[in-house]
This record gives sequence, C-alpha cells and structure tokens, in this order.
Amino acid sequence: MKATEYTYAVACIRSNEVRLLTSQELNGILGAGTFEEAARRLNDRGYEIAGRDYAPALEKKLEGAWQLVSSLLPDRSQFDSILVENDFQNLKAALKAFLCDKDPGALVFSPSVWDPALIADAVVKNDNDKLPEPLRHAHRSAYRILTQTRFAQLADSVVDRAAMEWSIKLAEKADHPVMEEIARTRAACADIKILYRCVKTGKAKSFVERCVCDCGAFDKAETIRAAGEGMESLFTFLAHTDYAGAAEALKESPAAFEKWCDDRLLSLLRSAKTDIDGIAPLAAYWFAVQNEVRNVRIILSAKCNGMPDETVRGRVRELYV
Amino acid sequence: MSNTLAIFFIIFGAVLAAGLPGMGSARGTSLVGQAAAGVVSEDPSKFGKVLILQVLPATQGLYGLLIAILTLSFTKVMGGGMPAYTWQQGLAFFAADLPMAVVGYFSAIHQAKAAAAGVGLVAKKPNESGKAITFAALVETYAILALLTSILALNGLTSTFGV
Repeated sequence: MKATEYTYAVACIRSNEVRLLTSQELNGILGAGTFEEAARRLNDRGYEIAGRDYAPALEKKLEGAWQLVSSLLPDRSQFDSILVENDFQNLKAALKAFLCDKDPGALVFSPSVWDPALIADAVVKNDNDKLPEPLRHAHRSAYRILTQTRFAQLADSVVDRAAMEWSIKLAEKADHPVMEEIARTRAACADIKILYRCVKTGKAKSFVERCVCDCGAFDKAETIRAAGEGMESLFTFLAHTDYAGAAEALKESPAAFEKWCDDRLLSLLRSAKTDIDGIAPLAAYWFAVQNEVRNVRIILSAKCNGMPDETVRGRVRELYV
Repeated sequence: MSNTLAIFFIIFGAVLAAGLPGMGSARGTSLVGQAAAGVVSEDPSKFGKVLILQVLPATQGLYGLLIAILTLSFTKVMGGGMPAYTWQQGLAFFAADLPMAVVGYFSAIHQAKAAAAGVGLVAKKPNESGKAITFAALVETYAILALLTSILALNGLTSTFGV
C-alpha cells in the first residue's frame, strides 16, 4: 500500500482532530464542580450525555470515530493488527458464555476483524474449522483447559497470548513499520502485566511460560527467569530495558501502569501529527479517541462517586492534540 | 549529421524542460488536491484557502513550458531561419535546459508536500492559512532560481553562438 494513498484520509483526520478535547478543556471538565457541570461541558464538545448513564454516549463517540477511520482506510485489513485483539476477546466471551449456558451477545467487543456471531456460532457448534485461522489454535487450547481443568485464568491468558502473537504477525504482514511498533508495544505491555500478576499470585513457571508471548522488546526466557525470582528481580530486569518506566509505574500501582502503557503507545504515534500521508495519523487518531473516551469515563465515574480531583488527575491519560 | 544531432539535443532539452516540471506539477497538484478534498469533505467553507495551496505546485509546469518555448525560439528551431549548429552547440543548449528540467520536477513535488502539510494546518487552524501559503511558497524560490539560470544560459549561448 503506497503511503500517498492516504493523503485524502490524513487531511480528513486533521479536520476531525479539532474535535478532540484539548488538555485545557479536559482540565476544565475535571475541575467541574458536579457531574452535571462536567456532562454539560462535554455535551458542548459533541458528546450526547443524557442523565447519569454516560456509557451509551461514550460508546457512540467510539463508534463514530471507528466509522470515520474505517471509511477512510483504502484497505481495512491494514488495521487488522489493531482490531484482532477484540476478536480474541469475543472468542473468550463466546467460550465462557457457551460453557455457562449464557448468551454471548451481551459481551461483544467491537470493532473486530470478524463477525462476533460467526465466532459464537463456531464455538457453540465446537466447530474449530469454522473459526478464522488465527483463532483456531487458541480456541482448541482454551476449550481443552476449560473443559478439563476449569482453570479459567490459564484459558484467558492463553487466548490473550495468541491475540498478541497474531497482532504482531498481522502487523508484519501489513508492512507499515508503525503498525508493527504498535503491536510489539502492546504485546510487551501485556507481557509485563501478566508477569506482574503471576509474581503477585505466585504462579508456577510452567503457567508463566504458557502466558507470555515473544514480543521482541526483551528476552522472553530471561524475563520469565527474573519473574521467577520475585518482584524485585522482575523490576530490576525491566529497569535495564526500554520498559524501565513500566517498572516504576508498577511500583506505584497497577492503575499507574495502565496509564503508562496508554501514554507510551500515544507517544509512539505523536510524530504522526506532522505526517501528510501514511497510516500512522489514522492509527494515532483512533488511539487518541480511545484515550479521550477513557479519560472522560474516569472523570465522570469519579464525579459520580465523589472521588477527589487529585486522585483522578493522576489517572488521566496524556492527550494526542 | 552534426546539425541533425544538434537539433536532437535542442529539441530533447526543450522536451525535458517542459516535460519534467510538468510531470512534477501534475504529481504535486494531485497530492495537494487529495489533501484539499479531504479537508473540504469535512468543511466546505475552507475551499478557497486550500485551493491557493493546490495551485502553488502548478507553477513549475508553466516555467518549464516557458523555457521550452524560449529554447526553440532562441535557437530558431521554431519560426525558421535556423543556422547550422555543431553537435557541441546543440549539447550546450541541452545543458541550459537542465536546471529548469531537474529543479522544476523536484521542487514541484517538494512544494506539494509543504502545501499538503499546509492543508493540514488550515484544517486545524483556518486563521493560519497565510503562514501555510508562505511555507509552501518559499520552495518556489528554487524553481525561480532554476528558471533564471536556464534563461541566462540560453541568452548567453545565443549571444556566444551569434544566433
């Protein structure tokens, strides 16, 4: 795909970037005295929050952003590496719903590469061949784990690992360096997260080995060995990698780590602000909208629950614009 | 034979002088046009501002055409009364066309990139359109310098060869 095929798309995105919240506006919303005041300010900037149930308005914002991005992509498969994670989430939801005899419809993650109904149907019929190829191995493994051991955490982690591995594979196939960088960064963050949880809960090495993918950011065997020696050893190991900031954030709290991951991803895409073509500005816009919605959710939730502004401020993600 | 080769060099130079900047301008205006369409699709009121940016990379094509006409005119290939040239003289006229041909092509494409970035600036900050035009217009300097070089070289050659 030639970068110049994105010239029109990038210009459209630039026009839409003016609709993203600025830091100043976000601070204003954060400083609003009440939920109603915050909602009013957001509605002035294009949100459609009615009453205290703000979730539909945020969903609508994300849907609108995805509709715009997907309509501008000359080839939608270029975004598969970003979306495929949702397909694996849909697989997990379908598996759990099937085994608990519930409807998976309520647990759908979108946007995704494949139709969630197709995944749910294949899971219900236990027909592995009906699933898209990337999901087959993960489905087989997770199904076996869930039916034989009922070890849901391991099944989830196996699916998450497959999601990251396929995200990297699809990004390599897309042949856009920025997509590969995004996929590898997300995989590295997922690896660190699972390693942290494993150390916290004292999981066996065999469990950890099945959950960690090879993200390419650090040596997998070395990381697992460090995690096996405890939390301090894991932090020391990470301190000598590009992910030193992740260790610092984890020392603070898991929420600080989540924020660090989102900020890191956006910092990768910040250079796209000056691009006139290529896929990077579209990816940056998509992540920017997701970050904005995440921030709005954090702020509104805090306003509903009367959390102090200072606590919320520490969790608010960096903005793209 | 020598005269035929000289005519070949003169005409080939004129073709390159008109052709390469023309190609650059076509590519450039197309690039900025795509960006401009992207902005106008979201906000039609910005049409006037982005149109100016789209026009900027078109000038190299005109400069190239001017050099082609001057070459054919100065050498009297066009209009009749052409003297007999040696192939070295033909090659000298060919060399005189090269600044416009080469610089015209590349400056049009690079100016288009600056103009497309300017379209992005106009999309976000419409009041800064003057700055966006200035950034792109500065690239024009080098197309103008190449134009002057080619004109001076052609002029010098016609005087030297007593055409």
